[in-house]
Amino acid sequence: MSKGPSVTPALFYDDPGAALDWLAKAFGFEPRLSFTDAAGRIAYAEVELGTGVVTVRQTRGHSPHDRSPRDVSGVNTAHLAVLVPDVDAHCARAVAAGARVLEPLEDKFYGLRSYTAEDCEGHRWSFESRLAGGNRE
Amino acid sequence: MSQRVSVSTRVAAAPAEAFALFTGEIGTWWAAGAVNGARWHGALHFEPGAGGRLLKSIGDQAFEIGRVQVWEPPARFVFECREQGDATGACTEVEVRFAAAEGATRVTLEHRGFETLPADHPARGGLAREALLRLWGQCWTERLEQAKACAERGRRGR
Repeated sequence: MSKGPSVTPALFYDDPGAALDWLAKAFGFEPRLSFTDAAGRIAYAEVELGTGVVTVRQTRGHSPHDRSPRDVSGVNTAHLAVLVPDVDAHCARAVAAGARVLEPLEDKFYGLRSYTAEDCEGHRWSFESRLAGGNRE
Repeated sequence: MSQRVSVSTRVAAAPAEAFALFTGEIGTWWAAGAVNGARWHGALHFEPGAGGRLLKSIGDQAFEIGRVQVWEPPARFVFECREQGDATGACTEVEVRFAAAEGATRVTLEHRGFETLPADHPARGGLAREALLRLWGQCWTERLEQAKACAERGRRGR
């Protein structure tokens, strides 16, 4: 709703407030906008990292199709890829904060160094940096 | 728990500079936002310090938007927010916090207390709570973008 990228992924969490804290601590996302309801629950929030924005939404009150991965045996049908300046440092931060790494840091043939981890409710994220001389295909 | 909207941005200034900008030049960034499509007109200024007033003036007319409740430079300030012409005494509350962030300042503005406004209160403009918060979210986002631009242009104007 505010100025930002033309495409913004929305992730559903059972506990958006805890997710905001976790995303800040483990992945370095900074708050941008949030609405808190009378019961103290986050109804909608936006966080940013670099030039990217992700919206954090609560599963409560939404369609049964909008679920947290932890409610559907960890199933994901998409994951988010985030370009960071130093993916090794980012991975160390995430691990220190308790993130579960699913695919370890590795140089990819397509010019990226990346790792994949899941967040506090099981959404899957890949963080990546460009390798020197590499081109993304 | 209070119903609230929170907006945050990173400003290219040290916390003390950002605090000075947000308080000393409140009229510059506040004028950017619009609630209910109505752009704001007039001049704004703070009387610094707890208990000071936030005054809005148009010509020789002055209106007190609210009192400063907390004044802790460079970390935060809190003030009351009232509608002009409202004699009910009902008001919401705005807190602005400043935190050092990698050579810049993360500024977070929280507007709260909407549940204290009666359904027919003029500050609601006839809107339901969610719509009112959404409008304020857009309004504060525009205002913080304006403040961010001011800081980046190094416009202090004093």
